[in-house]
Amino acid sequence: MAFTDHCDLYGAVREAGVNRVISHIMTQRPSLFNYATTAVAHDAELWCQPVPHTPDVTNHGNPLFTIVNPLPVLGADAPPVGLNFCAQLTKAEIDFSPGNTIPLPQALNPPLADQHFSLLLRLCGGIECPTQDAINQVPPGGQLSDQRSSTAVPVKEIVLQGRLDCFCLDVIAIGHIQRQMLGAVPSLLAQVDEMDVVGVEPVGLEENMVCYLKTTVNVVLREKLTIAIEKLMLSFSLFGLSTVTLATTPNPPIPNNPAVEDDQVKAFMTMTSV
Amino acid sequence: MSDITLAASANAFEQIFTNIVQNFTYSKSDTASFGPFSASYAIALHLQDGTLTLNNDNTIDVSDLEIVFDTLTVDVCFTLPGWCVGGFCVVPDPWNGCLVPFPGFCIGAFSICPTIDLSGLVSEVTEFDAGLRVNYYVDPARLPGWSDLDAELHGHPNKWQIFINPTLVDINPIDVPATVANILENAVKNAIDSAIPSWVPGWAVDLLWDIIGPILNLIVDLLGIVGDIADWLESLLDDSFNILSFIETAITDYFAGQYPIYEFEDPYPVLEATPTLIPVKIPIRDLTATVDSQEMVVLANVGA
Amino acid sequence: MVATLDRNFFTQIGLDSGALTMLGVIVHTFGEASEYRGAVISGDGNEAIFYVSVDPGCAVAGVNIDLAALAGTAPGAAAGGQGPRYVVHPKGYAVFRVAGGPGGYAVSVRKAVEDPEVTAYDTRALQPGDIFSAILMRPGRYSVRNVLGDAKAEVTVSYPGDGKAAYKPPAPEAVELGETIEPAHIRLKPMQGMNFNVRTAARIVIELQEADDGPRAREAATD
Repeated sequence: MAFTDHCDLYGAVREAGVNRVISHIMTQRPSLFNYATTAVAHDAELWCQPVPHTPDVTNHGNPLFTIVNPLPVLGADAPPVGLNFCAQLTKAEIDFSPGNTIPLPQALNPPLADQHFSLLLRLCGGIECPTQDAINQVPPGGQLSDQRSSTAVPVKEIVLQGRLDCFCLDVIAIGHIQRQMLGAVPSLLAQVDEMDVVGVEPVGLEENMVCYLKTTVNVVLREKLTIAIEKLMLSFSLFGLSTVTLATTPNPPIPNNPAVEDDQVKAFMTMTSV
Repeated sequence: MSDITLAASANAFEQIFTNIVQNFTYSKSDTASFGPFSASYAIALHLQDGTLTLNNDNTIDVSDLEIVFDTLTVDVCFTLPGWCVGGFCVVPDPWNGCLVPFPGFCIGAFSICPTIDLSGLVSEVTEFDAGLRVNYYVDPARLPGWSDLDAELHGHPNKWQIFINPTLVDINPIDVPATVANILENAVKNAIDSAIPSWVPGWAVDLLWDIIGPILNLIVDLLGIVGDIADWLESLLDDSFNILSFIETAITDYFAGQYPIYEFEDPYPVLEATPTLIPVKIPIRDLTATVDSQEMVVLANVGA
Repeated sequence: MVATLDRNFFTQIGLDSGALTMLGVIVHTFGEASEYRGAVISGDGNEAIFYVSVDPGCAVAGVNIDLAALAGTAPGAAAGGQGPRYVVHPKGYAVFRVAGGPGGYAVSVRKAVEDPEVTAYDTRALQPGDIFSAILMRPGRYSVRNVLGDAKAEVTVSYPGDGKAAYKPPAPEAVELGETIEPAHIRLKPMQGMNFNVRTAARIVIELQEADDGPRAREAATD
């Protein structure tokens, strides 16, 4: 049976290849996976995990971390007080159906369903825990008089220094890949359907974490990692021809397009002569 | 098992092939001397049509591929000898000569270069057997110290290329039509007409043509043509100027090395650069390309 | 490249033996050995001098005397000075011709040491025994007259053929010029010569009476 029995152009990438692609993205665009306050980002001693990256990243002045605001101390506003922190995605691995490289927890109803993928993420993070001496630097009684003044200038936030307590979580997710038109460009979009954070209790905390992480992953996938089918097919020369138009092959004859099966993600295109 | 599998149906492959065929053009000109005459030619041609067949033995056949000569002109330059006519004897020599001759009048020798224009002629590629060839292109302008990203930013990235690699290209001899004799005759007539000064009256022009006599006989004598003029011109183009060989080489070089059916940068950019971030590029390794009767299959791995 | 053609071949229509052009040749035999002094007389009255040694001791049967060269109108002409000297046997032929240029020359020859008893030879009055050889280029009908007598004739020059075979003019037509001209009706092919054997004092004038511009012109005229 030929790859193109029911289409004109076929492209597939195995999960091992996709995992190497993920690895390349993590090392060439680390700021997509590493977030920290300015103080943490500029002090490698404070990082939860080293940030592997290619020499091109630093040679071209690209950041290893995306700088984010300190975590606010609730109730502190005169001046506002924040805490340094960092959050790093240190591992991302995909397993296309049939599932065979990532064991699914019971919470995700193994085995992995047809046309689905599972995702193993390792998330490391930590919040700086300030010493009492650091807390004592916050002015007692606040700076209320200054705040009430009509000529008051915004009060600078105090970021408390301390020790970073890092932890790592393994997160397992399952999802599917769907077609999405980006303008006129047919593209593939991965979407996480369910997620489980291993070893977090109580249940309510876990559910909140899952909700936050799932939302984060899906938003980042939509904003940053939607991939055109043309890219998946390495810009095959048929895409550049003015004498043909290419469209994703419909069902029938192709029931799943894209298909997530045989440890691969597959896409099918049909050509029409102009 | 390879990380990446791409496949293009026979129909898709034929579309790509047709696009390459349509982009092929070739032109050449040359001059050479052949004793009693010199000749120069100018050709400009393109390819059209062609039916592609993919075979299970990883080969490609092309049939019905035509060569259209948009320009095919041959200039044949030779010297018309002088003619002296009209002389006669006024006082004969009793010993069988002429004591007093009346000189005739002479047309001095002059050169002409009639142009034979066969533009529009169509020939055929009779054999086109090929396979696929994968080439890893390293731009010679790439400096040794550059990273792959530096090479891309300087416009000299490495590339994977897949070419149709002809193993046999054979084209039909240029089929010069029999009417070329008339074309040549008219061209010579025009060239001689152009050489006759405009002040020569019409009756004198007729007289000159009467003296010159049949043009084709003159051409055949002057150029040393043995046999058919069409055969002579075919031999001049095909054998003396070796045009067929040049065209076959041009077609082979074009498909095998100048115009890939597929090429892409290596490393391949999967995430484009932003104003502040470099692109994310994936090394592609172990590229292979094969065909069977149904499709072309390209396999590759994602490098570490 | 433009063919080298002498325009005078095609633009001079008609002949006059007393005003020689490229289309005519006069052949004269001096007969008597002596030193002769000749003058080439141009249409504008200028004269160019030359000498002829008629010497029984020489074996020259014929000598070409190019009037154009003598008159200085032909390339390589040596005008002025003492004048060139030609040598010929008394029974040989002095051939007066015009190699190029517009022509229109007459020749007058007398003995170098002037003898009042001897009349000068002048090509404007050909003598018996002379030959006037002429060629007519332009197709058409011509009249031939001896303006020193009453003899007349008519010449028809046919139009060139269709070029199916390379044309070569036939042998010249021999014409006897005495009290009459024989034949009286001369039919010539293009560029076919005529040799007038002169039997009386003569100045032969040939004039175009009716041009023949060929089949195309005839067809156009009937349309």
